[in-house]
Amino acid sequence: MKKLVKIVLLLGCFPFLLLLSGCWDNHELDTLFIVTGIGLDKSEENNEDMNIALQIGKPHSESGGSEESGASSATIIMETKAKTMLEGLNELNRNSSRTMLLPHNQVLILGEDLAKEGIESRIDWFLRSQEARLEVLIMVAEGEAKEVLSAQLQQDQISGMYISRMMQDLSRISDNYEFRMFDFMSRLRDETSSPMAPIISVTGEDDKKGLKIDGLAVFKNDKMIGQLTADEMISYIWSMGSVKRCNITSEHEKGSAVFNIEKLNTKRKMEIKSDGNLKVVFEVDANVEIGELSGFDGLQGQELAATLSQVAEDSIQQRMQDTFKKAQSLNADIYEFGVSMKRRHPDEWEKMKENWDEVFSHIELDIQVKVKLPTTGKIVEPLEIGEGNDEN
Amino acid sequence: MRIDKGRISGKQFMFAIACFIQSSGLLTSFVSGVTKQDSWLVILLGSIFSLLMLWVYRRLMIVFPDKNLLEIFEETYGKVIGKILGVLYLFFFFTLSALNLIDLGNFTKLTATRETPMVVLILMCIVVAAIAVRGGIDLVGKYSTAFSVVAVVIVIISTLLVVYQMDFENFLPSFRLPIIKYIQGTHIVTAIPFGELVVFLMIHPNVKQSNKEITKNLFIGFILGAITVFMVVLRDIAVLGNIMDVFTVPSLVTLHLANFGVSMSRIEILFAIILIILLFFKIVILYYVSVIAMAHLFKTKAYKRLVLSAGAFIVFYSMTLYPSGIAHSTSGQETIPFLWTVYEFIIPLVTIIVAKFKKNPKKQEA
Amino acid sequence: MGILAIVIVFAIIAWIDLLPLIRKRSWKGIAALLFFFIPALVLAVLWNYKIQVPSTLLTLGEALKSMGISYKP
Repeated sequence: MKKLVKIVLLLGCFPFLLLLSGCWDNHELDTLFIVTGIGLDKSEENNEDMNIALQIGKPHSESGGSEESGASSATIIMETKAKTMLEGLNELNRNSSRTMLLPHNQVLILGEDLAKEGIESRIDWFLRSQEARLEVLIMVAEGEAKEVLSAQLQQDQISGMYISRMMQDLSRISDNYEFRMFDFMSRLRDETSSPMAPIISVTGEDDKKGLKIDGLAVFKNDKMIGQLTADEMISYIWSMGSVKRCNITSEHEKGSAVFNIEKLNTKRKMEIKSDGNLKVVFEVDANVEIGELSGFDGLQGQELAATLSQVAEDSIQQRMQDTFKKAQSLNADIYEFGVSMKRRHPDEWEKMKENWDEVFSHIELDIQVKVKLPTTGKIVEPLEIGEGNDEN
Repeated sequence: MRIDKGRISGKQFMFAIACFIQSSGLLTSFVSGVTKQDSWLVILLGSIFSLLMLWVYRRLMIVFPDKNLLEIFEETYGKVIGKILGVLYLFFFFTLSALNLIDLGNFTKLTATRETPMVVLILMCIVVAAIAVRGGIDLVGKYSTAFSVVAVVIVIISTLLVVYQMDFENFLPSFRLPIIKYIQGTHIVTAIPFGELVVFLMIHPNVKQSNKEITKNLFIGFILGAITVFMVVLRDIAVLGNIMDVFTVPSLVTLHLANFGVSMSRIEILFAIILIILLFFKIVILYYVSVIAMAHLFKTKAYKRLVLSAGAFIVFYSMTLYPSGIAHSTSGQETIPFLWTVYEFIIPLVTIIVAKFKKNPKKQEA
Repeated sequence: MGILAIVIVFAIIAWIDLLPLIRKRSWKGIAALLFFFIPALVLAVLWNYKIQVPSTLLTLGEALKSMGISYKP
């Protein structure tokens, strides 16, 4: 009898082995499509739907077969039309031989038209679903998102991964290059801040295409209302905190210089003026190296250093101020001044938050830049073409 | 009457307490929904109030070193009231077991096994738990030390991984919520999860420890657990900021964001596994305590035979408790704390006072 | 299908735990076991046919609320 019990128990273990290993949830690799990029565009036919494009990375065994130069791509684009993301996904899953695997998705690209219309009703799935990760990069395409996804790049087979790596490189320069779904969501939730997303555009032709980040799209709530150019984007990044490596070209009446910004830190102070308006002070601290110089005749040593520091300071200040003016003209609080107020001066914030748009348009920005020029590179002064001294 | 003759050491007792509390690192959404960026304060306050409760438990453990909670009731209040209290606590223990089982099911479903039906998950958990409970308290106690240490390591590692994503300004503005929210928050923290330690009053007769050790084990175990939860909440607020209260399990989101390098991302599943193990441990303790209570009320020593039936009951009982996750959180934030405080604080406090009274009939109150 | 599984599972539980108890004639043990076995079986069957069982916690919560003892959202 005891032996029988033991055998029964042993047999009884098998269902557990199966169930505990999670086989209810199993997905075999060859029944999956690995999604590396998602693009959403406005549909021309009707206003409700959007065009959904998924970029799928083809498994190696398939793309390895036909390797003609540039002709076969490692990705396929699957498309559908639907009102919401979930409907679109369901449709794609229904009509294809494989299930979509989403956790490896790198990027969500919004078509420019769709972004301008407002995306709140479209992105709920991205926030709610377990499969959509909050680290997914969110970007706006100049034109159609589908174009970006289908671009056949020289450097990389899968543009989704390429974009993700590109952003990773940028974030080494500064933490402020964070444009993930998480950051977008955080700004969206805040009543006053403007969410932002990099603008990505396709360059080149046919199969020698490239992708470029061409500025930042500025949103007011969930609608895109304007953009910052690539230069303005850099000044914005400077304003937000710390930056590690950057270049800046400055023109001066005596010559022009290209500076390497080694390190730049911006601290902000919020001050309330007597007339009730807000003044923000940016205290910028930068360590700068000279990259290239031309001109600046006659200046040497200390004088040169002093002049160059001044030139750099003026440049930085000018650019940051210009970008701020652009933000003010769009009436978009891209710097999260509202959040700073809420945190540091909560009482005054209560009074201001209803009319934040008003307050923002009257903000005075005072930028104080201090530049340190530790070295001048390998040579001390720009090469001057000597006069005279002809030997013959 | 000692139902389970097993014994565990004082150290195991201490780590069991620590594990028990640490598993609550998963359930911070109860509190973070109410007090948002000030949740850390509420955990601190809750810990302080819990120390008060712990003092009551300590007294009980010292005055009645060989009696579990139900026996204490019978001795202090007499057979009739003692039995009635016993039944009330039986309900409490079973409900706690069921609630934590749902939490485990939900968490596992969210992270690892999305499509497996809830019932299957819960069943598997209970079956494994039943094997542990049938093995008696010494089987249960053996795992506590390792799990507790692992939990601390996990929290530290995960915090380090997200350190560069922390923004300490996320804690501002501080202390600006209406006072009632802080009271509510502290109450919630004290009642769920800290107060659930009252169940250890069913286990203490099985622990080899002297009176001095009781104090040490109780308090150190609790502090270890509380610090872990505190760190988890601090970390989550710093990383998630203003969207923390949107998530059902904030810790999970923080872990999603923890990655080092392209290849090492998405390791949150490892952390999830450890957290699941911790919660499982808590369920085993609650399940064990429920069965012992049952055996005691019916005056039988054969608790091992009751394990499976109790388990079946817990499974199906848990399915009836809440129709949705929202009902669960709302209930946890609004009404449960009051209910639990009766079990966790009021009754034990009254008991120790009455017991003191009985032992010193000469000391009459003026 | 579901009801079959339930019957099998509860039969197994009875075989493993109830029979030895009956053999030993420990009436208290049997009482304790049945105290949970029967409600568990009932709840299981109700669950299988998707019949809603009122939740103890929700009813207690409502009772507390009507007495004014609860936190407002």
